[in-house]
Amino acid sequence: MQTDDLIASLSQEATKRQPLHAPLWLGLRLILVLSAYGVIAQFFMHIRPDVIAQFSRAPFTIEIILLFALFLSSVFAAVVAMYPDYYQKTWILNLPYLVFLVVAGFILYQMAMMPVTSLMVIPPPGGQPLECALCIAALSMIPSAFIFGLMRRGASVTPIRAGSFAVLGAASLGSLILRLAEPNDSLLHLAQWHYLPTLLFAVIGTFAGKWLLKW
Amino acid sequence: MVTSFASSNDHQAELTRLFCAGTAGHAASYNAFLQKIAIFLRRMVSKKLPQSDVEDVVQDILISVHKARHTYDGQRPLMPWIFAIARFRINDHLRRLYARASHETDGEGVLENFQDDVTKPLGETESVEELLRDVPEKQRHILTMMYVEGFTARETGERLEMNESAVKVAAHRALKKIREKLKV
Repeated sequence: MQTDDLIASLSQEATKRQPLHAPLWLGLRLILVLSAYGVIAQFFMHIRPDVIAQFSRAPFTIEIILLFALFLSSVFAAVVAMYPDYYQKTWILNLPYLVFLVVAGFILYQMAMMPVTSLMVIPPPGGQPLECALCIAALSMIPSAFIFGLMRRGASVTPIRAGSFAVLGAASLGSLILRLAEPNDSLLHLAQWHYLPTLLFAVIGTFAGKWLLKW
Repeated sequence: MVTSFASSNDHQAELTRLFCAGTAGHAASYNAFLQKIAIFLRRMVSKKLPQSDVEDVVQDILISVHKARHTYDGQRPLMPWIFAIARFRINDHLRRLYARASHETDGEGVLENFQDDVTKPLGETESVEELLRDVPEKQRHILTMMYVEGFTARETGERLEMNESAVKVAAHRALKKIREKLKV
């Protein structure tokens, strides 16, 4: 078929089509929905009994703020990646990586420089640490599906990267919920069974993105 | 040329106006928009791909622009949006090209051991099945529906749940492959 014929055929299909909303609007709406999911999930998971005392501890508060920042930046990066030109705000795509590095750096800094305080709950070794990773995975399922569902309405030119943002956003929400529910402040445990799995899920998201965001 | 075209503010404003009118349902404006971008897409693609692939890739990009038209809202410059889609499709095509090239290289040794039998009757190698063998399954199905069963592109598209233009492009590619094979 000649290009002119194709153009004629495409022009005939040029029916009125509503453009997607701006990323800010879509992102805020998505965050609102996922936050509602987070509140419901937190209700079922319960909040750790010493949460008020923990918030008086600066490192815990900073960690929660950073997790929330990771969630926000990943969701916004996923939404911006729906547009072929990233809505001409490419810098937003670097934010999740930056925030994740800050989270990892903060955990390492605490491990190296900060002493264990009496407020920190350090359970005895043993238990089922794998449950934490599985719990984050389970909590991330619905948000991941929701974010991918929205992203499929767009036209991502970086589906691999976009997929990692979608799953990183969902997994960071899962991590946040679990951090507020589980009375365990062992930094080694957090690094091994909370943050490394979160990173791993983001890697899995790259494969999901490759298949789910084709257009 | 591409840069000068893209950097011209008048051209950009004109293209944006035509595109926005097109997405609002004005077919003539949309046609004019596609005609205009096809010209510079052709220039852009011909700098990166062999001449034989240019038209195919330009058509791919035009279809992609059409599919993604809802991701542009007229609130930002249009050209970066078009360039992003064009780059994506060019890279896609290059990936397929390299993959095919490496696959063909792997088979070279095998082909040398199985030279054509010159005594083979001509009719056997030129059978329809032979010609269709290298055509991908989906394209073969489209060709059969359109040229054997007599369905139109629209009807084929409806049955295969594909866009009419995508059906035409697939049929065009399949025919091109067959033509190339006949030349050899």
